[in-house]
Amino acid sequence: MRISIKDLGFAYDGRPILEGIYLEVKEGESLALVGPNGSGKTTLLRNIAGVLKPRSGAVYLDFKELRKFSPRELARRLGVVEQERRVGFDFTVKELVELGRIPHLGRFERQRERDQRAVMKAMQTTKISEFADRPIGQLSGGERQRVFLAIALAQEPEILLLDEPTAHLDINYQLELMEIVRERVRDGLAVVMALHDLNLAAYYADRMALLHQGRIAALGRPEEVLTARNIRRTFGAEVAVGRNPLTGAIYIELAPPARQARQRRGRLHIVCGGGSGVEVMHELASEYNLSAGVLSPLDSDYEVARHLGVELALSAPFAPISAEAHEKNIRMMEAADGVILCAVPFGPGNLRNLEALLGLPAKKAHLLDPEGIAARDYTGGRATHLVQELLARGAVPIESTAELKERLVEREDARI
Amino acid sequence: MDRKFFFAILAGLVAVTLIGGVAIGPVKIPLGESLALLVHLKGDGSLYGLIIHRIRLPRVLLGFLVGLSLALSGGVMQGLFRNPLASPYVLGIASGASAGAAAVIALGFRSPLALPLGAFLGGSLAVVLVYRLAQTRAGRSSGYGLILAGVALGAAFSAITSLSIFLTAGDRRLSEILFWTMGGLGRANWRYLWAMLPVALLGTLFLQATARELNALALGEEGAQYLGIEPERLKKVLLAVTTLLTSTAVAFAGTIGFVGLITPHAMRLILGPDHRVLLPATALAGGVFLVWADAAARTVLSPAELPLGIITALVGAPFFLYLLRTRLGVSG
Repeated sequence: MRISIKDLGFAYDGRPILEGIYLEVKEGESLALVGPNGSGKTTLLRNIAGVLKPRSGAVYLDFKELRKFSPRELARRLGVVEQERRVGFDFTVKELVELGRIPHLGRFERQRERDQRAVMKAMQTTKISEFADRPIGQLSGGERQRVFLAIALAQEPEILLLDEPTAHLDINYQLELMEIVRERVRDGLAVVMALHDLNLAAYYADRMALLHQGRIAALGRPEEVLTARNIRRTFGAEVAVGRNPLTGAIYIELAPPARQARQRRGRLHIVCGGGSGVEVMHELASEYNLSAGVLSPLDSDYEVARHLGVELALSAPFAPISAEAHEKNIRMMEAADGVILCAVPFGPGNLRNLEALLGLPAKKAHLLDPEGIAARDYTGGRATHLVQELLARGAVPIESTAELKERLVEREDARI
Repeated sequence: MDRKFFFAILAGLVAVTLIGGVAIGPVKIPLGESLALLVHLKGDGSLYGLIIHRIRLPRVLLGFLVGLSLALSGGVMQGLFRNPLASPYVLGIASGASAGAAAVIALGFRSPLALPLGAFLGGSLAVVLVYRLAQTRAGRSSGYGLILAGVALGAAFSAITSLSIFLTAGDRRLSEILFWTMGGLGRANWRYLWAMLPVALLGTLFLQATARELNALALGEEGAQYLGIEPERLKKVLLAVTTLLTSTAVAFAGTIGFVGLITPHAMRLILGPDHRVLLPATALAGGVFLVWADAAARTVLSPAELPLGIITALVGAPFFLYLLRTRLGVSG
């Protein structure tokens, strides 16, 4: 079932809350409503749920206006899950899930096999079958929220509306719940969810609508909506936008106002990859001008480097390092006062980064954990050989990041 | 507890109660003879037959229906307000009905139906007023608002009752009002029973049919709304039906407390909160409880008869306090 919202406006006590909202959600699609508190996410959701009546414009379900559905008709097509709600009495899980059948049953009608099946299925999909006979009060927050989702699913709706369904839930329960919702989207449900967690929304929603002061400030795929500029405009917050290295989803991190730029102590180049440079970059970024390479945009070090404003030599992922990137890398090494080789695993793909070090004055190179190279060597011994060669030429072996910092300071002092 | 088993026990209890209620009384009639006379529908014209058929049978049946109506109304109110402390009396029904009845007596109306009618009008008036007073601008009624308005309005109605008592001091009408405010089945007769029966029967059937929606209200009014229920309408209908049941019961038996509070509570402890089973169990248990309470009222100080409200309060209050301390974790 398709949701279309046309020029929807809503006011509360004469104060406009929503204005000029146009949205479309198809079967098998999920839309996340995001935006700062008070931007109108929940109000919009409740207009779609039919509990609030728009002041202007309208919501259509498959081109029929929402208000033309009777409450029961609507409840057979549309299920709603909100932030955790209190249950009046200690009902058992099954008794609660059976409530989802109310819109399908006449007042004097008994539950039939069909209803029992819908209830069982809803409990299975939400993985609460094993608690069926337990009172709701004995369940954890995450389990309870799954019960409320099961009630909505027992309605056998075509549309699912979720209002901050994961608020107050531990992170494991958040993911569990969202995974179940995603499965329903694959089954063809149209899902609209108000979420304040931008990263959760980016990962689980097909599209996003960013609301700001009751209007849609941006609409589109997560990477189109969650730009640093959009977020500055709506939330007034500085963020770094990148991609989650594990999922590839758009990922947002707070970027607090840049710390007072201190006198830089010099320029360092870092050879890292696979997360090996995270600690070093964090430790040194505030005191040195940093560059790093060669990295690919899928590397977790890439996110950190971008976040810290490290200058980069970049190359495409899953491919040998390009000649262009290699040269840029060497140029940056030469320009640097020192080069730091992190505990990178080497394979044929990035061995050139190690080879590049050989062209430098050996004393400029600092090798972190050189003894561990054998375990990180996937080149059949070539990487190990290169590291030993560097050490033989006088490269500095370093045990830890702390030691590295000391050595760097000593070197500086010696220079002065 | 297994529900089928529990209902089997309850059904047996109802049968035992109806027979026992008829067999017990200030005039000792052997059980065998009571049974024989019960089977004889019209009685045999003997004194025992007269006692059983004219006095005890209508009284026991009326008592059963009154208990059933009050308990059921209490169960519905508790579900409606999601509050186990709600009872048919919280919305001022009892005090309204009392005031109505007291006014009728004090004003000297003598028609036999004037008293029930006055009580019924008083009770209904109270609920309508409370409902209107508790309504918010948005046209919704909040549970708290209803209960608070009920308490306040109840006090006003009690003043009318007290005024009636004051005005009739030294009069025969005084004891009539007093007896009525303390509740009792002493006036029971077949006419009352026939008036009560359809109300109790239809009310019970109707309320039973709303059990599922009452369950849904446990999710809050909005949660219920998402299931296609119109909570405000449901609330109005349920209030109307419970008011009808309660004020009819009050009209024929005076104000009898605690049945509507304790019975649903006790049944919920045994069966859980699912109104589909809770309501019928509460109805039957309420009937059983009131018949035995009335049997006690008739026999404890025999030949004098205690007001029924005293018995139910004496049994109900300690039970309630026990529940309060064990269930709500009140210590002290």
